[in-house]
Amino acid sequence: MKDQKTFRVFIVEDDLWYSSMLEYYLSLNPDYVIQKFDTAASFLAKIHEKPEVITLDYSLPDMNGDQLLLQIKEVSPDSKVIIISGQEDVKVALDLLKKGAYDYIVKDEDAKDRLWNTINNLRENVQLKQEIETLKEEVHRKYDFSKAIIGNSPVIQRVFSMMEKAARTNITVSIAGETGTGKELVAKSIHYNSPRKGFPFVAVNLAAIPKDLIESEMFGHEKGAFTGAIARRIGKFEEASKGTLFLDEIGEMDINMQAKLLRALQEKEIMRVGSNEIVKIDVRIIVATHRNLLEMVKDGTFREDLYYRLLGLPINLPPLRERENDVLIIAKHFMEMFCKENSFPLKNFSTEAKKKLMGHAFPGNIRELKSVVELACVMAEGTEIDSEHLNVSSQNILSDFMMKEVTLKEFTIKFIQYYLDKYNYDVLKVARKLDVGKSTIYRMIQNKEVFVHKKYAYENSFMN
Amino acid sequence: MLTTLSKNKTQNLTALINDPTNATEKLYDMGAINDMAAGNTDFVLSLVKIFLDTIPANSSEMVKACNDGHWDMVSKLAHKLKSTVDMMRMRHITQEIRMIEMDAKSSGKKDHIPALVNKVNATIQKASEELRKEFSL
Repeated sequence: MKDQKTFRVFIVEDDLWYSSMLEYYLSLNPDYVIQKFDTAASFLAKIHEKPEVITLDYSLPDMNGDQLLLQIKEVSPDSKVIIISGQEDVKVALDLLKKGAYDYIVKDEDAKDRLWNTINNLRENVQLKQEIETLKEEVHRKYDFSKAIIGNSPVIQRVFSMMEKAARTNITVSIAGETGTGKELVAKSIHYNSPRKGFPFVAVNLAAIPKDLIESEMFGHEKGAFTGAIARRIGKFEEASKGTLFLDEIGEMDINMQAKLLRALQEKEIMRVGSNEIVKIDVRIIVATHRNLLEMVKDGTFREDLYYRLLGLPINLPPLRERENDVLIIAKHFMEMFCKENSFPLKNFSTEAKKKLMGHAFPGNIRELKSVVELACVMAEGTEIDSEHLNVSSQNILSDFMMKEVTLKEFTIKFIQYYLDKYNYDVLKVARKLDVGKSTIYRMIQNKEVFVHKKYAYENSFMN
Repeated sequence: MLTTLSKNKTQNLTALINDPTNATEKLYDMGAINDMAAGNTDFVLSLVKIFLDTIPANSSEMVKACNDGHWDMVSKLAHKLKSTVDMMRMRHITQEIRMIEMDAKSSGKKDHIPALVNKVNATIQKASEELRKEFSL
């Protein structure tokens, strides 16, 4: 890959005095790497190096600017050519610009400043283009199945296999899952691994759009269609043309709008609000919801015909608490990401911290895990994240426990652990509160069923 | 600018052909170069050297081409000299050099060109002497 900082400029000029002047002036910017050529032949021998900019004297001894420009465009089409000429002829200038020259500068006293500005602008453009390319690559890398969604648990492996099937075809996909399980990430991954990846991915959160605006948001509107419609605007369906339209929180869609959406999906055409013109659409639909749509169909709040139209390939995203060891793998991933972004040295999770993560039900799923890990990275001074750094909020301890199906023994362990955490590992206090013998708790600690933070362990003097 | 130049050619010609080499003021002005150099005297000196190595020779070549009636060559050399004449702010010959470039390649009369060429050449040679003195070369 080219060095992003350096920017190569070739000066093709037979007038030694002028080329020396340009060389000096342009080299005032240390990022520019300048090379001079006094004939077309010597320049053509180096054109394969594809410099970012070529300043070209129109009247060279061995070839005129016209011919040379055509050759440059053929061999190095991305190089920008700035013609520098003593010819004050508008016709020649226009002709060269039509043939692909980037700019035409007349050799006068201001020429050097114009050239300086033109090259600076060009450089910014080139850098922006490079950035776009890098970001595009990054997006593709980011949504690579194996990297976007992390985990080894059998339940998530089943999701991967469904996503692969979805990416290969054009089938409508419906994603169900609790909040924070990564529904949009799955939708994006399917899109960026499908043949539609070169076209837009447009996400619409239907719960976030006011009921009255949803039709114009989705289908667009004509100028004057309603008060405030001051210009024509295309809707999300047209915006996602040839790409993917992701309708999040589809369960929140109003029943009238459901009929309109059904028509759009069946006929593959839409009409902008205030227009009679039919617009053909070509979009892949992915929907997501945290609600049980089938229940909504039974209640009469979701159209049955739309439900079956949207069901397509259903993907059920498991909540984090059902993903076994994935919680640790994902926590490690978030820790690495956060440390990298903030230039922190990498940290590791202590055994107690791991236990705490595994023990928590994560009602907010991956979103919650991410914020817990990021906070822990900030709170942990050294290289180890300990359980005290993990601020897992268990405001509703009972519902948290009840979210997981566990045995009575497991429940007891979690329950005692919760009280130990709450009362700073004061065994006597916990025993009193729960009305159990302190020896029961000590035994559980010795059996490593519950853990006590080292700091407090010393105070309680039951560990060495 | 060129249209205006050719329209007023006749009345300007006499004035243009007046020999500036007898003038006491300097025939060039290094202002533009000095601005660019921003105190880098080595760069100024290198440009002066290139000027002395190439410009008087090109100018003499133009005189020879003019004497031989090689008008195409005269136009090309005038074109080549033009940017240096401009950057060195050699204001006595900036219009002349353009007129030579344009008229030498046009199909019109060439009678007035030798006088213009001689004036340009005399100015460049004299300016070169002054430059040598100023920069002790």
